[in-house]
Amino acid sequence: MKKFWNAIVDGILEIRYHIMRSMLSVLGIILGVMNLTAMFSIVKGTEVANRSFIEALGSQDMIQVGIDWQKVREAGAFGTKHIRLNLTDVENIKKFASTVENVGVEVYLEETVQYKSFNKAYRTLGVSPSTFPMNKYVVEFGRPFNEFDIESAARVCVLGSTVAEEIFGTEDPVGKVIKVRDEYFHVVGVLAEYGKYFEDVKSSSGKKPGSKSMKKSKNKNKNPLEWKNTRILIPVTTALTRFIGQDTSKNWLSIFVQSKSIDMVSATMEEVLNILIKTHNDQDVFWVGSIQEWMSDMEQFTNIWKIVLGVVAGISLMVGGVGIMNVMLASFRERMREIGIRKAIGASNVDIFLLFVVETIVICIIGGIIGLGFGYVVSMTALSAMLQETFGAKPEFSFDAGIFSMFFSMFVGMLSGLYPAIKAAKLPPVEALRYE
Amino acid sequence: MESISLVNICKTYGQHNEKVKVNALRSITLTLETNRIYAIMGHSGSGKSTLMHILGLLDRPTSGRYFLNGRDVAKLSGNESARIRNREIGFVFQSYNLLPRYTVYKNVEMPLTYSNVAGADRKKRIARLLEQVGLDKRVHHKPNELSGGERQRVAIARALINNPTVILADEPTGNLDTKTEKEIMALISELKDETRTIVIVTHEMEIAEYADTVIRIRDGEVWE
Repeated sequence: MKKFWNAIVDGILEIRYHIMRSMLSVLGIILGVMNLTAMFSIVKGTEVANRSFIEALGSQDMIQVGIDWQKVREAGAFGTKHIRLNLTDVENIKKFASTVENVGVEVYLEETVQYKSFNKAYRTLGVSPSTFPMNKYVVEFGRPFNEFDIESAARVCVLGSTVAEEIFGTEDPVGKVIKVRDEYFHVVGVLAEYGKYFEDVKSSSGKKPGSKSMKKSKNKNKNPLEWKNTRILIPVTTALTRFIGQDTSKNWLSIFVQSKSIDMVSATMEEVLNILIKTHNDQDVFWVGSIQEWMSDMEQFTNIWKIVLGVVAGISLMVGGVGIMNVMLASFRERMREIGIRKAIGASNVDIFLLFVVETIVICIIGGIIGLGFGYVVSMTALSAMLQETFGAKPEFSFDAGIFSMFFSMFVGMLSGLYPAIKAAKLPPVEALRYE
Repeated sequence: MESISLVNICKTYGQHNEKVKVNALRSITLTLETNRIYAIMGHSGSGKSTLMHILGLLDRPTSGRYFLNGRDVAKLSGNESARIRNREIGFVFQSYNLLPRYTVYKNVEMPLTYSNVAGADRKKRIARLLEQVGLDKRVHHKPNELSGGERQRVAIARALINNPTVILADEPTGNLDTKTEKEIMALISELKDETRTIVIVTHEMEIAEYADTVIRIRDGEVWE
């Protein structure tokens, strides 16, 4: 222990004596650790952003069902009328599926909305009451649809937050009457704003000076969930009877199925698919997808990024290590005589080994700490701006990753200091003393 | 009292290649006693430096036996030799061999850090030794701030710090003027005592005059 402490003191002394040389060798480690921490925070940041995006799409146990047009084409059934999803399919799934908790439906229209002098076309969705919780349509003001709205094909609507803002401004939309296509609808509710996470990212960056380009672009354009805010929801029956009629060929209908539990999602997917195939004359022209699948796709994607960026950062750290090894070998040549003197007065091979290894470790720890600081600063400023501009995400600095990078740099330092240290330790004293 | 005994010590360089084989030492047999000063004399290339290295456990003989205070040390491992160099042998070199980055105090302390001597005891010993060699005013100077004679005094203090039984001085005054040479030699002569053997390697007759016994080496053999 005492020996180790002596070696540390000697190491620091040596570093101070060759301050310029030490700084240069530290630089490699600083850049490497900085790289590593910055990479980690970027990946973590995009991961958080992606997760919040997917989580806003629907609950974890949700499955979406639709027509797979690729399969339709392959089956040569293109244009066939009965290949459509309709409310009968919803009933069939409800009737035959054992693992299904709930079924919801959405039809997609584009309708012109009028209110006083306001006139604009919006994405209009016919939905069932169960769609609200499944697709995370959170009603902030007013109420969602109920069974009575569905049965009576009532002319009621729920507005997305942006729609409400655009039509009514600061007015309270609930209870007002708007004209959709040529029918009058009561506004019964307004949805919560989506993409709050991304909005927060935006507004936090907006305050910082020097991000002029960001201020110019309108915040809403960068919100990847903004499409959820620019919708009008009407009861699915209203959409079918008043706007679509019996001909559903022009309008897509999606079915959303909620599994009884998260563990049964894949079983439910298979079951639903089988029911649809059976009830459509054994024609397999459907696709099913789950939020879980998208989540795992995303995770796979982030994992690939983690590996790629980790390897890049690791290589740069290795380069730093090679730099250190170079410096230590030079230091070894320069200190041959000193090694001889120390051995003559009783330093053992281990003492000499420690002298060199500890010096590299000290260099690496110093480099690691500085690199960690730089990594934090860089990922929170420059990279933060970049990440917001491109993905609408913000870097998440993770302490674990920082500590990992530090230990990794120490490891690299030890590895690169090992060879010069062994060389120094093995040097015969006579040879070392003879060296001028 | 007998402290060092060499029996048929040989040192051959280039053992694996017959053509460049050099016999630096051929069968040296010597007995050195405590309370005496020995001078090893010889021309350059005579093998006196090799002998000095073997005596100081800086190098190992090719064959033969070396007893230091009754213990056979000829075939010790690197770390065991390091221990003995630290405890039982004090070196004084021609070029002082001080560590330039450390103060006088630190240089003298250095052998203690390798033998784990406790802190309080250290300070006393270093102070006493620096007084003995007349450098108590120069404790916190660095070697490059000292004269040649002063540097050699630091080296002598360092050699004495672990109270060794053997002092090996390799041309200790080779880099010094005549006046300083006398001072240093006087200092070395004072070190002679009941428990200590002093060996001086030199090629100068004036230095050899300080010795009780002169050992002449020629072509790797003892001549007289």
